[in-house]
Amino acid sequence: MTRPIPTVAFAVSILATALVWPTSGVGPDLLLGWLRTTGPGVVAAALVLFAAWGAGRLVRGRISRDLLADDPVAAAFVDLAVGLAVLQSGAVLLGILGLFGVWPARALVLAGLAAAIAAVPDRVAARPGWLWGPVVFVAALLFPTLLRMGAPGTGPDELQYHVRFVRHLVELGSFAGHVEDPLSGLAQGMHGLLALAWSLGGEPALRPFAVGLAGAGLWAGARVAGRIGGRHAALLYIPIVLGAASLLRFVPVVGTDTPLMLFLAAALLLLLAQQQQQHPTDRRTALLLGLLGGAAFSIKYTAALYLAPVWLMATVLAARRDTRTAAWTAASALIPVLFAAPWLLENVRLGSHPLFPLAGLTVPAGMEAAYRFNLEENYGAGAGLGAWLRTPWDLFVLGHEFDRRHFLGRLSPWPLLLAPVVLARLRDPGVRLLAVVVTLGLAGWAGPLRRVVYLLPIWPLIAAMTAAALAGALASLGGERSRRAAMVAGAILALAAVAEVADPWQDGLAAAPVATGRQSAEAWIAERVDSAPAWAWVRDHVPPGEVVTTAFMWRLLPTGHAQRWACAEECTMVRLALMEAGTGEGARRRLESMGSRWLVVRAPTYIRSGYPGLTDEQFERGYALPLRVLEELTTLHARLRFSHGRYAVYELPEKRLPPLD
Amino acid sequence: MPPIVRAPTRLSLLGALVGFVGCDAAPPTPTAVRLDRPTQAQGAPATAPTLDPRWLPPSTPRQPAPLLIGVADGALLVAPPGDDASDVAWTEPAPITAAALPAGWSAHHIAASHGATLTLTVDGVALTATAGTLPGPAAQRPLAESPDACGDRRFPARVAGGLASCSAPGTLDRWGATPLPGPVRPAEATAAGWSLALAGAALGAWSPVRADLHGRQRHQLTQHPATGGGQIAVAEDGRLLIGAADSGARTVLAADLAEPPTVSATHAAWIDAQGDDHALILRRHRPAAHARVPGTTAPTLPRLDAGWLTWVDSGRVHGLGLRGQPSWSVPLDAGFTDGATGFDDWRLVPDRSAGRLRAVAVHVASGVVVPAWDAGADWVRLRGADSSGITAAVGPPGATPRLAERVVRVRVLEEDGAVAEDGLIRMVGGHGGRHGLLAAGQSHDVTLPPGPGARLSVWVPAGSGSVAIRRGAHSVTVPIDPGPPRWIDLGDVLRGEAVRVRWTAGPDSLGVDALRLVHDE
Repeated sequence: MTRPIPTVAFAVSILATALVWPTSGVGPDLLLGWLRTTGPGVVAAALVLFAAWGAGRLVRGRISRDLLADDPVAAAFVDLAVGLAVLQSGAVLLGILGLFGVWPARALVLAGLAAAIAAVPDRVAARPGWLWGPVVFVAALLFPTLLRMGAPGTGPDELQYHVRFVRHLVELGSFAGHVEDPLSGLAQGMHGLLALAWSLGGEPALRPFAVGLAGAGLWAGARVAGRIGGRHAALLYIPIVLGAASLLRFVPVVGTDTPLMLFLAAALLLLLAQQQQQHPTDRRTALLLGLLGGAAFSIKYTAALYLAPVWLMATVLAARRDTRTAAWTAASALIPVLFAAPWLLENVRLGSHPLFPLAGLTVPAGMEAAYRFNLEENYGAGAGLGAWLRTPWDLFVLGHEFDRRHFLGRLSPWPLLLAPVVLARLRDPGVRLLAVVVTLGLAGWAGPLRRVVYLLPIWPLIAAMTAAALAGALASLGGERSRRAAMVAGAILALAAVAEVADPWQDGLAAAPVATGRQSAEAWIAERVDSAPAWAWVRDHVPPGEVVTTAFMWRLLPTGHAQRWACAEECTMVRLALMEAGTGEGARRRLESMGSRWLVVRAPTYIRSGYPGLTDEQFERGYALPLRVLEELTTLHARLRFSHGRYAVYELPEKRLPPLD
Repeated sequence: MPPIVRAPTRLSLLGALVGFVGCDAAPPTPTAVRLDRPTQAQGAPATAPTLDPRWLPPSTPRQPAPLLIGVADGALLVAPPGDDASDVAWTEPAPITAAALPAGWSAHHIAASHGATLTLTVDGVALTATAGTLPGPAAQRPLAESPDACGDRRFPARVAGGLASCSAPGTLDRWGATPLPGPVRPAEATAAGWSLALAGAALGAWSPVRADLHGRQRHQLTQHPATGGGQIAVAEDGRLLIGAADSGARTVLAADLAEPPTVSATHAAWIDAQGDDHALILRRHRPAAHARVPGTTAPTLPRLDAGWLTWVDSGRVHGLGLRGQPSWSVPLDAGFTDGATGFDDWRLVPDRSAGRLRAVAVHVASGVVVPAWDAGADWVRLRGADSSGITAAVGPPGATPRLAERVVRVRVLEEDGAVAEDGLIRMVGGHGGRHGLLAAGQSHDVTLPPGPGARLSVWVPAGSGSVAIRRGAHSVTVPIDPGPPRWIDLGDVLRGEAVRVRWTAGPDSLGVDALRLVHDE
């Protein structure tokens, strides 16, 4: 036995899996079911990621071959991120031209695969033996993720637009875009990437692809920690970053937050490489940063809050070389704008706000407060300086899943508890670099975002900063004491992580039947999506070609019809449209002008006390009046065709009934 | 149960029902009476739809023409002279004396035109009666339950005089304070007068006094279940299951239901979606047969009430008599939303003809339409009804409504009316000389479904014996001595309390007639 440590670790991992699998309720016999049901999607996602790595390596090699030559793992993450930017650009271009389809997408992936296969022989490297221990821990902690990524997407954002828009792109060849579907005005770079995975493995490939991206981001974060604090930092990073309930909850979900982790971590790896090798940032690095930032920005605009500090530090590092390079680096921040240009220009063409159609809605004077997209002061302790200052405590220590007073999620308390250690280690340039990026990112998040899920893009960086500082502090103990202290700290962190993620871990096991083929995707959706019966009715009974308008619906299921007015958060556009209509009759005419005779409605409840910042008049016109108009519309001008729980389907008669005799 | 000796005078609802299913019972004598329709029922009746005569049993048309009066704290329905419309469910028995009764009317037959006001005396209590009304605002009281407690537009809902409600949104698990057999989702239940159709973990009908539940198999429902007359109907994908609520046996029919079905002891009906074409299907249980109701274009909201099938089509409410009664059709801007309910031979439907949402009542035996609940600027969304009252969510549009109920203060249970459709009362006979007779030593039981608190009394038309009332473990027997027809007080019935009444004939016969509940304020 030439490599006893990995062999033993592998045996332990098998044993752990054997213990975890049956106790999870899945049963060893269903492994084959998982391979059959979830496996194809995983393979498809892996192929796209592999192709992205190949494409990225090719492009990065042309830009800067010697970059990260001493760190092939970090280089691989940068290559993957760059490759994703390249594939994303290809997919977006196809979509803009209306040429996206399964075969063009497959050709794009195939080109990346060819590059990847050609590069593989160079990249086969010996893995460090100590890696197996963390792998077992990670596998056990992320075990439910294997199940949840085999389940169809049922999350609000997944059904509201992510999966819907990807389906649109694959089936119709172009990006969804309509003035009455404002979410389609957001940048759709992620949907381009997801569509590539769909082209290989269909919808079941979406969640595995999201998991793959998130996994790469988390792993890249480990590399960030490792580059600053060495092996111990990378090891301590794992329980810190994974011991976050909200992370485990969101990793298997198709979204635009966790994918950003990879791009931001890759950007930090670039900066660290420049910093640690004492090479000031040059134009090539700036160009690569531009690609990474572009991909991130066209996935989600809020990435700008986290990219800005990255660019700030890159510019500072570049300034060590000369002013011109610094200017070049600063100018490279415009590259992300180019990535988002297709959607920015399309919004302008449609007469909407360039960034986000909902931001440009014309709201009556004095009603601005009632027609905001998101009442961020409802998350956390509220508005004002006091609430802002106590955000770290509320976020890291008190954080609670599904509690909007605590930002609708939970990370872990370690970043705050170990903040003094971080402060003490600021003399370390790597920790300092991370601290600046993380602090500015947190400050940006605490303004307009204020939900844990929106913070996940820099969660690996927060964890890496914490782990690197802790490892550095422990290293100061010296020699064997340092190693033992790191082991004890790692054990404590690991135990804490297990306790932290117990709830999402347990909940994730519920996906076992559908992930192993024992339950159909339809049955799973019917169980999880309370509006599923209404959508099933629409699918079965509304004639093809009709336009279906929704009101206050967050989750939309495919029915084969054009769907309008999908909304999120405060459903601003729906409320505004109803308020402008003024009466049920006005709303009927508005729907008629949209060519829509069908309405799917969720009965919303807006409680006055839930909006303490609004005046009575603002609440009346912003919330009560729209509901009154909706009720007039559905009761006086439509006919109920189906109802189930809070959901109902209405039909507007093609011709109004003659007056009663 | 020993046979009941019927007074061979007139045919009751049961008799008519028996006639429909093929027994030798003569149909009632036809009577031509002009309907004094309220304003809502203006316009010439449309051509009434009829079923294929090959399977609809022949019958003699009859035009029951009840006139309606309501009292401030109750509702009464009386029939005109000469008409033996004995299947009218709400007929106040004697002694009702009116200050000025039209000539030719007995105490049982009080004539009034719609909107007229009469002063009546019931048991010495003066009541103001207004024709053409149902329980009005005076009988209304708010309920503490939140109308949004279930996260469902149909629940909480009135069942058997109480509210079926949820401890948490999506978990229907209680009737008042009484737990249901098991939590179900509101989508798996339907409030149906005196019982609740359940198609969750258990399938069948539940009421506070009886649970006709069967099986533990969860059904993949495509529509809300239905129950009535001891039957249950459950729609699944591409099929409809119909059978006795307390039995596992089900008739399975191929059907793609566009709306929830409706079922009674004798029939079932549903809207079958055949592509763009929606067909109203009527099924008879015995002998089993079903057919499409012709003449319908876009039928919706079918409902079986007291031997009638009613539905909405093309801006009209249609009624089809299942015992061969002449059909009717009245214009009504209904059928646009759910919330249709009913009790006895009333069907309540939401109406929007006034530019707001209110409830109207259609008397299924005649097609007479009267306002049932008009709250002015507030909109009324029906949340169930039974013969003890109506429950609705009331409030302005767009705002969270409040639950309220209008109770029927004086309620007379007699012969086959009221709750007979739910199979809870098996009483025969009736007032006005049509009471049943128990031979010496025979007995007859009636179980009253729980409802609001009430004072219970029994009408004794003739004979002697005893009447025992049993509440839980306690039983009280009231002797009946020979004497003139009279009401005998049986004491209080608590809210939600199930009561069993037993008549036992003495040495002579004993007349079995009406029970009366006078509800608490």
